Amino acid sequence: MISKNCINVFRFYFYEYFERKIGYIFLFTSAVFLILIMSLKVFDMNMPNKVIIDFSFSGIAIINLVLAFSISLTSVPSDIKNRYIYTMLSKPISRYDYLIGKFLSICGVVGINIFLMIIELLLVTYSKEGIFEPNIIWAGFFVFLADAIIIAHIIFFSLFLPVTVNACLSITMVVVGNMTPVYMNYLSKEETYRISYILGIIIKVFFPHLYYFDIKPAAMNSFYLPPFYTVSTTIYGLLYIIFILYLACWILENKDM
Amino acid sequence: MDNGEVISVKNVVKVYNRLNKKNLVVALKGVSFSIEKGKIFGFLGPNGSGKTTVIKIILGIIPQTSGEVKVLNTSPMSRESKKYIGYLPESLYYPDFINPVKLLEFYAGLYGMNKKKTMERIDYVLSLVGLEDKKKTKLREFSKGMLQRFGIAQAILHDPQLYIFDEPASGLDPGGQRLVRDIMIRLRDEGKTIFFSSHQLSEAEMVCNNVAIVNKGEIITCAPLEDLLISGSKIDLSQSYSIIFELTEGKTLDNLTSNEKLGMLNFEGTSHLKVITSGKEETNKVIKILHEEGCNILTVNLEKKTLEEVFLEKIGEINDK
Repeated sequence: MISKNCINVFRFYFYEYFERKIGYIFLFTSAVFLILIMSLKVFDMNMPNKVIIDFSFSGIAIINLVLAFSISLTSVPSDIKNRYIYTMLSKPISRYDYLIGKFLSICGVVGINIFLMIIELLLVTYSKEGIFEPNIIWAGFFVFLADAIIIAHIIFFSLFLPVTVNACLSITMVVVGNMTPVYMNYLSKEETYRISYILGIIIKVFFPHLYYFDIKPAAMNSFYLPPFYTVSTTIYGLLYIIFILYLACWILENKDM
Repeated sequence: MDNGEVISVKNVVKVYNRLNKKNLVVALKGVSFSIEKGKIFGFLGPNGSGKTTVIKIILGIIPQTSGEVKVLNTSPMSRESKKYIGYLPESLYYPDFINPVKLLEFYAGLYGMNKKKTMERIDYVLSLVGLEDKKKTKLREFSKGMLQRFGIAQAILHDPQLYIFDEPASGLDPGGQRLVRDIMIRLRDEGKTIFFSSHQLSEAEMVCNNVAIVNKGEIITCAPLEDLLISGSKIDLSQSYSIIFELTEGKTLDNLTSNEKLGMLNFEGTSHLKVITSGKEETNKVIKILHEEGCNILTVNLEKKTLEEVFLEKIGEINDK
């Protein structure tokens, strides 16, 4: 599924993001984030670890969402616009390799950023209470998986939508995806309106259920995470990404550039 | 496809925006041509004539709407055919954050070249295009001419059989243009095939074996360059000759033009005069008269047009219709 050329493309663009200083900017943000949570620890006024985890996960989610948007919105369109993609596709590389390589490189940058932030959070919480909280790792992994779904969506939309429309639609996707249960509850009460029912079905079927990946409460309160939940959520996330990327590859394959 | 044919394009039609009839664009209207191994094929045409669309189809970047295209006996969409093609794009957009060696290493990786061969080829191609001292310089610091040289280097990196050069001399100074010309001739002499599009007709005239002129999505003419230059005129130039001669002492041009036969012809030049004649019979008569008038005949040549003249004439014919 992941060919040698796919890995070549991944390595090349991953290197590009760091060479273009985008990666470093976010690594810097990660350092600032560490200082902030350290200061929360120093000036905590008996604040328990869960407040630090709550604050930190909000920061991790927002920072990495901005990172994912800023890199992936223009990633493929700029290659098409400046015709660099012609040079690339004239080489013995499939569009699939190109697209998956791009996707993996963006995920790589976001993944490193999340990884560093989670390590920082683990160190801070451990140094405060001397307890290692494994749910923080799972929560970090799920933030990464949710971001990967959003990156796949942004790349998919970028193949046929202008950047601004793509940004608006992707933000909608994030908001609706995180609020699906709220919508579903609300819409289920509006039984008299058929349109509400149809809208509910559309949201349920087509929008990613990003709320599955929000296990911050479990990390904050050290809840037991059933293995079935973590495994099934991971499988859901991976299948969703594969489906979206498959559609994206199909569109790129049939796109007149 | 004949064994000697490297590219075969038959009745290729390309329609953009097929789903949107208002914005439907017919870019190619049944284009056909073929290119033999070891030849330089010039693909000439004005802006918007369909040159880039043909190149994109040959490279497998876009599919044709109808018609048949074979590149090295395979479909251009196949990855196999791309292993043997070197492409120099018209737009000089390369990732500029990187130095030429790193970018060439990446490209070599896509061709599956091993590390040792990659480094050897990188050294060779960079020295061939005169960039051997720019190995550590990032591409963002390259001038347009240097980027064009780099473009040639990346196209020949994997030593392909077929080269597709889109405006290869664009942005190059005369020295750079000479370098490109020499590289193309060298590659042809090595038995490689070169397909190139250009606006610089004088450049094409110097290197091409065969030429196709395309306009508004149609091939107007496709022939060996020599045939085109000799027979590419509205009048039958195969019977036109240029006679260059000099006047003997005491003779002036007025003495000649007072002759009934010579008076009808146009003379160019001052010390060495040139006259164009039409047909062998007239040429013989003029030579005889000039001889009788005591002129020294220096050369008699079959008159040829320049490629630019042929190009403008062909494009003009189509536009007049």
